[in-house]
Amino acid sequence: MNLTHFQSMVLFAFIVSLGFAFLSRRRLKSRIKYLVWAFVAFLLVAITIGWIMYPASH
Amino acid sequence: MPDNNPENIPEQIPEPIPETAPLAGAQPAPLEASAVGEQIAPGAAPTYEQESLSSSARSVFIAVAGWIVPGLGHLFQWRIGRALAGFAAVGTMAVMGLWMRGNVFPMHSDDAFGVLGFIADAGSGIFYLLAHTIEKAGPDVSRAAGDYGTRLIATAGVLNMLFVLDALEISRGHKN
Repeated sequence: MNLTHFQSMVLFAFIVSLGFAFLSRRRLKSRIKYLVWAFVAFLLVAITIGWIMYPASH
Repeated sequence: MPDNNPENIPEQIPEPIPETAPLAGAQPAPLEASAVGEQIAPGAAPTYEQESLSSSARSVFIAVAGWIVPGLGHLFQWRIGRALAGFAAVGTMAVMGLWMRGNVFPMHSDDAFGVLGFIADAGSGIFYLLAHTIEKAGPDVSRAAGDYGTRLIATAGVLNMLFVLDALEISRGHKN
């Protein structure tokens, strides 16, 4: 299996968000809200850090 | 304004069960039975130490079960949602990491990072033990995907440790 860096990050973010949502929330609606929030936060933070580091690669 | 957020609604505390009156003619329980492992007379209530030992053994059993098979610690306590989520999350991440040919750290390592990698990987329990069965070709970190797979395997183990701690907290009554 050969995933790209971005695909690996999306997989990582989704599964970790799923785990956190089920561990920290009890009701289904709260879990879904937390999952979406954590997933988006993971992606945004990762992409932001990527762009911050971008000048260092040139 | 009333707070309708379900997370903020306090859970209802069950009322204590009233003690039943002893039956007429029943023998009273012996008062001196405090040593752990001491024989209890038939009909006598277990002591605090014996109940505590039994509870600790149950907690250890749940922790070990949850470590070996992710989600099993929750399943034994009828937390079906968390059990399924734990198994799916840890299993998917570990198997994907292995299929990406990530590195699985062996038990004996010379450097500290190798030891930390082993601790993280071993957290996934059965998936660590069956790593070479799931991916027979073994690790290949010469490609970038192999490096990503290494991280996924380690994350699966750490995530399972969180699920084990959660199951342990539930079994001890610290968490509902």
